[in-house]
Amino acid sequence: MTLIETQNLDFSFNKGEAVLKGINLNVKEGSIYGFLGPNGSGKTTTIRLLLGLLPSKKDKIKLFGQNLQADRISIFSKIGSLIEQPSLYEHLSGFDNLEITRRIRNASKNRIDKVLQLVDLKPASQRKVREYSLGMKQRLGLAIALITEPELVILDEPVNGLDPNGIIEIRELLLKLNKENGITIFLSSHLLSEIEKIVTHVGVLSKGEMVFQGRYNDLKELQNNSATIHIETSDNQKSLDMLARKYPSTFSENSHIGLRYQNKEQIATICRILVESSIDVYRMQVVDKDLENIFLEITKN
Amino acid sequence: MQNIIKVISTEFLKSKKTFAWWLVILGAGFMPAFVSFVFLSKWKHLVPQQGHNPWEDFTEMSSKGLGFLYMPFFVVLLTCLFLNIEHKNNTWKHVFTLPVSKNYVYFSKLTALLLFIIMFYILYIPIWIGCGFMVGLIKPELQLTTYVPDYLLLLSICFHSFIASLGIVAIHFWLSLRFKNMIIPISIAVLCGIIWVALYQGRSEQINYFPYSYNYSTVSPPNWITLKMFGIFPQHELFSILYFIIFSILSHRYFMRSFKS
Repeated sequence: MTLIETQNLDFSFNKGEAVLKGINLNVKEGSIYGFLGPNGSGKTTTIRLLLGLLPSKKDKIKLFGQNLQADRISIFSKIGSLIEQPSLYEHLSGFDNLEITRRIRNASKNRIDKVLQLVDLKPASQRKVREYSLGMKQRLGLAIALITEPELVILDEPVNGLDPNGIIEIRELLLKLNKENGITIFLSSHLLSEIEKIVTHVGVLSKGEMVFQGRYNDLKELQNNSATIHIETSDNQKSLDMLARKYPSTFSENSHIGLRYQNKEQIATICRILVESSIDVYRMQVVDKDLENIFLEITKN
Repeated sequence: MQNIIKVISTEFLKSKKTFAWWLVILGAGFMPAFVSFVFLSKWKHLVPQQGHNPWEDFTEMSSKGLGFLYMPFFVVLLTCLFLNIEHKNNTWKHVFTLPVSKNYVYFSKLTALLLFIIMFYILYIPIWIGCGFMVGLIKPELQLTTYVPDYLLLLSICFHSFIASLGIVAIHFWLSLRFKNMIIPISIAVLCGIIWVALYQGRSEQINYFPYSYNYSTVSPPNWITLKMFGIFPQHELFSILYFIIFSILSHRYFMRSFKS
């Protein structure tokens, strides 16, 4: 079942430049969907539209197969969300913040203890939120989002500003919620490295346009396809001429030549061609592009 | 119905440990304490003549103080503080993603604010009576323990004062939604306070259309205007209700259509 679906979603704040251009989101039940893009690409605007915080045209957004504008209350009863910095009443305790949402969402009283335990905030639950660290506030925001055991959690930059330990804690928690409770998670980030360890699906947004959407493995496939072999020899020009006949992708760069990597047998073949032509091989190296670079390339183009 | 009661109860929880609560508690105690201080320090001038109920003076001084200096600004400050809880904590976006209609959110906020103001009167009445009797015990010459206050008059003053406040409640509810910086609505209230004093000093007939004057007009009707009564309500209190309806409609429309989190 598709939990989030948008059809050609456009948005502009003024009549001028469009912030979002024809976004088609497709988030399946049970997935952890990483919504990626550099700062200012339109991630938060998309999330605000999904949560009805910005006006959208009719029938453009469907959650749980229902129209957002027509079935807002029914949809929101199944969603927990955390937008940008968590919305917290800083003069109240963590417990009171949870109690406010619990009453409105009609959750049972024992849920407060459960979610406090889940985010490891029980000992600090009676302290005022203004005394919390950023990581604690993020965890409390997450606890508020989870108070009714939602089917879908929408999180905007949930690890933004956290230290490495905090990032790991949130990541593990999200993974646990997805695996053990079957909660579908939609989370945005501007850094792929922050979420690549947990996502099953990825959508990449650049300048308001969706430039990639698919399984995380598809993104990794892109990584494999972009690996190159760097070769340094005693005669790079001669090697380039010889290899270009067999591998048209061969190119020359600084002190080495390069060509697209296909498989390990290819390395043996290249070696043989060069040695048989009396060319000394000083270095042969397979260079992978990391996902971060692929992400940057996608968003740059 | 059960849902709206739950939402209203969260409004009270949100206001916990804020200055709004202190404003209600201290506010309810301030005027009776101030009048008690005046009675104790100037008691020689206030000893009642034979057969005169001293509670009448105690009532007049308290209610004029309440209407003049206090009630308009108390209501304005309370309204601003109440709505500022969401503005200050940037929590509107959370409120709007809860499974509650915007209508519920609007009406629960307005109802909770009105309940807060009613709570002020509920606290004011026993504190006022207690202060009066305490002054009577300290200075028996004032005979406040010999006589009893006119409880019906006291309740009537509080009821009419509440009705007279409704206009500025709705105006400042609307202003506090429109302007997230609470200095703006408070400055408007101060300016309107100055205009009211000018209208009063100038014995202007237009004072009847100026909502910031209604509280004082209730406890001390301007003697240059013929007091028109409509049932139990004087004309300015009906205007207060009218202002309340008009500005509540305005703020509701604004909240439903244009208000941004």
